[in-house]
Amino acid sequence: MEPLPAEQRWIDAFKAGDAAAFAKIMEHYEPYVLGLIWRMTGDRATAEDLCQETFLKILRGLGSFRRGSSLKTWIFRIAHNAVVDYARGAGLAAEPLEELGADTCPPDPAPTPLAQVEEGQLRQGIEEAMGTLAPREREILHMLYWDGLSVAEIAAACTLPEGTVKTLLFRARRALREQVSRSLMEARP
Amino acid sequence: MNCRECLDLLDGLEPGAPVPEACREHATSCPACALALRIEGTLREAPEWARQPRLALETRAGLLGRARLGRLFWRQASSLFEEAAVTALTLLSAIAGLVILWPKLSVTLMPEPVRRAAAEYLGPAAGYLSGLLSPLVPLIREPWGLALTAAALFSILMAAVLSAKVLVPAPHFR
Repeated sequence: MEPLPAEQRWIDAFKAGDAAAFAKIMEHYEPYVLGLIWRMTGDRATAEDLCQETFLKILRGLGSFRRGSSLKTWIFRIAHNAVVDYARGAGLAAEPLEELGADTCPPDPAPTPLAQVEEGQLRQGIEEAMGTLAPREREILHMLYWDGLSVAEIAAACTLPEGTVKTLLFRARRALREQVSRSLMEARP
Repeated sequence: MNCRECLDLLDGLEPGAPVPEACREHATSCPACALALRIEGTLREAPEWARQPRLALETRAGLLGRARLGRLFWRQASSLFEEAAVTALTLLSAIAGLVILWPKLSVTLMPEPVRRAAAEYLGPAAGYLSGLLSPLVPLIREPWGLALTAAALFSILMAAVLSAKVLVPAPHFR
């Protein structure tokens, strides 16, 4: 995700009473926030509700937003919290965050007929595999690849240490790859 | 390089970092690692091929409407406060100026008969006011006393101006 051009100017304009500045900020971040929440909840209607809630919180907090802070990180933290609150309310269990052990390396995946895998098939496989990942891994991968956040920004948005984000990222990439390989193998005629 | 080393390298890559050459070389002869490389490449291109969902029009319109209303209220309230503060400050300065300069001005500007006639009415009023304000004199002599008294008077005046502006709004506040 490209940063919003002249972000600080829009924040200042909003603080000075310009409602169009909020529209500009929303226009820029809305697809990313909605995409993330949709990915996490798996339901468009719920995602829209949570996205609306997220932007209402942004609207309420933007007036006192600290100059020099990262707007992107702040917005994603609000979105992350909205998802966490939703998951808690929906009674979804939080996954334990165990450290990656030395014995967690899986065996090498079975060879896949790469030549037969088309780009569209691969994308679909990735989308489907994302849905099978643990929520935290899914969120981190989405923030990294779809929303273009750095490890430091993900850590700030999810209030996790950077080391933990790297560990989760390692595990998530591996789980995703295995899942994609598996589904491609199953799809073979 | 074997598969495990290659996959470990891929999984531990810093975001956006180039794939190590050794890994690429290994992938040319290993379909599993080649697929892993393609997955990584496809993921890196996700912003280009992924959906860009948007909120429903009415939801977005509702949010923007709330923003507009909130800002409008804030803007009006802030300009109301600003105007009231300026008015209160002007009034305070005028009153202070009048209190300080009145004895001299009255002598130089007013003819003797007018001054005598005014004194008939102003005398009792001045006596009443000095009785009212005399408890303030020791306060003013305290450190910061003058500033605090001025601030208190300013607050009282501002509250009065604000009340007047809210009770009798100017046409653009209606």
